[in-house]
Amino acid sequence: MSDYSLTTFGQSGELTQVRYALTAVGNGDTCLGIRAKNGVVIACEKKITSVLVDETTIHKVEKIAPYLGTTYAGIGPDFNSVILKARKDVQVYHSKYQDRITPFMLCKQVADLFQEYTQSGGVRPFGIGLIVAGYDEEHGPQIFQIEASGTFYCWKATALGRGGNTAKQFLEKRYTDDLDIEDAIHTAILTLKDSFEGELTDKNVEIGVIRTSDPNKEFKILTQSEIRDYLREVE
Amino acid sequence: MELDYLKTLPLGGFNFDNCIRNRAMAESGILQAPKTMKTGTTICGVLFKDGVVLAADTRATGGSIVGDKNCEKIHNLAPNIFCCGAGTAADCDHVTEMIKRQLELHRLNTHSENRVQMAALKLVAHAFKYGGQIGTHLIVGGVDVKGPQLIECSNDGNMYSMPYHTTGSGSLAAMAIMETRYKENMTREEAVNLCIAAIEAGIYHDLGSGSNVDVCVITRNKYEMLRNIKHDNFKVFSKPGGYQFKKDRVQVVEEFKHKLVVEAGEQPMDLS
Amino acid sequence: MSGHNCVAIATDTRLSTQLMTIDTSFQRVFKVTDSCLMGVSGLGTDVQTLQLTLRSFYFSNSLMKFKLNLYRLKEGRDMKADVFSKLVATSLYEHRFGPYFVSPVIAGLDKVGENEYSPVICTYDSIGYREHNGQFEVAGTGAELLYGVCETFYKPNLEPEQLFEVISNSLLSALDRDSLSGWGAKVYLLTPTELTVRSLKTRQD
Repeated sequence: MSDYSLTTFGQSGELTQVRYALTAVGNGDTCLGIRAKNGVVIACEKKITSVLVDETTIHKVEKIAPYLGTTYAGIGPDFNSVILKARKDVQVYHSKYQDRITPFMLCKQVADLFQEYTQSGGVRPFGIGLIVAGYDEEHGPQIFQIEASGTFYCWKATALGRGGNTAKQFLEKRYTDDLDIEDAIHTAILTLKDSFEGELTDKNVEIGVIRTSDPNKEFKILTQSEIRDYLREVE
Repeated sequence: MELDYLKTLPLGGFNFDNCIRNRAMAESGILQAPKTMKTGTTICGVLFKDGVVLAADTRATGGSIVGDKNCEKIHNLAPNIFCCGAGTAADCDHVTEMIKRQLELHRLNTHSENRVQMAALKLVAHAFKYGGQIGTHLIVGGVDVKGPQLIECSNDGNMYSMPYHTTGSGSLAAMAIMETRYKENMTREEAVNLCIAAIEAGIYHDLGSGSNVDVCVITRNKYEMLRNIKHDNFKVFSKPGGYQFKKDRVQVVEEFKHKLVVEAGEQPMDLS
Repeated sequence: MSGHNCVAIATDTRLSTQLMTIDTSFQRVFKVTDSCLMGVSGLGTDVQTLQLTLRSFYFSNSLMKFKLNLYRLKEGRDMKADVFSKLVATSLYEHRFGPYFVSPVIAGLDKVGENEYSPVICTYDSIGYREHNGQFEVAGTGAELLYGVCETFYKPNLEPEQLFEVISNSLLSALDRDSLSGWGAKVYLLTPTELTVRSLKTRQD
C-alpha cells in the first residue's frame, strides 16, 4: 500500500482512532434492541436540535431490507453511507440466491466493511455503532450489535450511546427469556424514558418491530400514532 | 477492497468464456447450440378507470414442444408495478428479477414509491445496452403518483405508452379483440373481461400460446393476482386411479442404500 | 418426479459421440446435499464442468461444487434445495451469451414443518430458464418421449415405492424408443432419511 493508515497502533497496543470512534458512539443518542420470544424490537431517541426542524424527514430507524431493520448511535452521515452499502449487499445476495439473507450474513458483511476502515489508508473508522434486527429461519428473532472496530455479537438485549450503560443495567434487570413482543416494546420505551432528559413523545422516539406472527416477518417502523398509543400504555 | 485475492473471485455480470468454443463447435458442425425456451406467448395490458389490468397465457415452448403448461409470465417488479414478459423465457425471468432488486433498493433509499416510468426506463436501458440480443418484450403496468400507467418495452430499446397493448406471437389475435372492444373509462370488471377475451383469442388461435389465463389487477395501493382465472385446458387424467404396472417389468439389478439421518444411539449403516 | 415426502431422478447411463457409444456407466446424477440431487444431461465436458462430484478429486474445480462449498463455509449451513435450484439458474444465466450445453434436473426436499417436506423439482434450458411445476420434469435426448409417458403415468402424492415404480416404468418406456439413450438405467430415490440408488435391467443396445 502506498499511503499510510491513520489508524496505527499506540504504544499500549491499542488502536487510538478506533477508541475515539467508540467515544463518538458513546456521545450519540441512546438506541437499544430487545429480543423477545416472538419478535424483536429496536428503538432510539431522536434529539431534535431545534423546533424548526421537520422531524418527519429524519429517520434513525431504517430498513435495510423489508425484513431487516437497523438503528444506530453516533455520527448520522456515517450511518447513511453504511446503510447504502448494507442495502446493496442484501440485493446482491438476493439476485444470486433469490433467498433472504440471514441477519448473521448481513452483519458479517457490514462488520467486514467496518474492519476494513480500521486498517486502510486515507480513511477513518466509522463513528457509529449499529443495532440490527432480523429474523433467522433457524434461530428465530435476532439482535446484532456491530461496533466501529468491526466486532459483532448476537445479543438478547443491548443498548448504545450516551445512555447506553444505564440502559443496559436497566435491561439486565428487566430481561427475561420468555418476554412477549408487546412487553418488549413497553420495556424498550421504559428504558429510553429512564435515561431521557425531558419528556418522551411520539416525535422524539422511533421504534421498529419484527413480529414472528407475521408470515413475511416484515420489519415495521411504527407510525407516530402507534408510538403515541404505546407511550400512553406505559404511563 | 484493497485485498488482491478477493478480486480474483467472480464479480458478476455476463461471462463470455464459452463463446469462442461454442462458435467453433457450431462452425465445424460438431454440435449446434441447444434450443432455448421461448414463451411464445400472448400478453396484454389495458388501462381502466382506476387502474391497470395485465393478463398473460401460461405456455412456455421449446421448439414445438410445450415445456411448461402453467408457467408464470406476470412478474412482480414492485408492490405497485407488475410486468408481463414475452420472448426468451430466461431473459424475462432474470431481467425482471434484476430490475425488481434495483427498484427495491431505490424504494428503501428514497423512502418512496417506485414510478412505473422508472421501471420501464430501466428495462429499456438494459435491453438497449445489449443491442436487442436480450429477448425481452415486456408490458409494464402500474399505479404511481401520476396515476395508472401502461408502457410497452421491446427488446431493441423502444418504449411506447398507449391505453392498451398486446405483445407476443399471439399479439395479432389479441389486438383484434382489443381494437374492437376497447373503450375509455371501463370499469374493473369490463377491463378484466376484455383482457381474458384477448388472451383467450391468443390461446385458441396462436400455437405458441396456450393453457390458462393469468390476470393481475393493479389499483391504487392494492394489487390482485388472479392466477389461472380461466383454466379450461387443465389436464384430465384418463384413468382416475392411475396405471398399475406388472411387477416384473422393472427388474432391479443392484441396490445401494445410503442413510442420511443417523438416529441417536444407532450405528451408521455398514456399506461394505 | 415428486411424491409425498419423496423425490426421484431416473437416468440412463450411456455417453456417446453422436451415434457411437463411449461409456456405458456414465454417472449423471450427483448428491448435492443430503436433501438435494442434481442430474445433468448434455455435452459431456460441460456436464462435468458444471456438476459436482463428491469423490473424484480431478473435478474439484467444478462450478457448482465451488459455489456450494463457498456457501457452506460462509454461512455454516447446507444450502436448501430451493436455493440451490435458483443458484443453478443464475449460474447458467451468467453464461447467457456463451452457454454450457446442458440441461440439468434438480430433485430435492425442503423441510417445511415437522415431518412435512416440500419437493423441489425443476429443470432448466441451457441459459437458465428455471422450469418448475412441482410434479415432474424431463430433460435430455429422450425428453420429448418422456413428456408423453410421464404425463400419463404420473399421479400426485405417491409414496416412495409407488414413485419408484412409476418413474422406472416411465423411463423404461422412453428408453425403448430413444436410440441415443440406453445401456442400463439408474433410479435415485430420495426420502428425508434415505437415498436409495437402484440399477435397472434394460435393453443393452
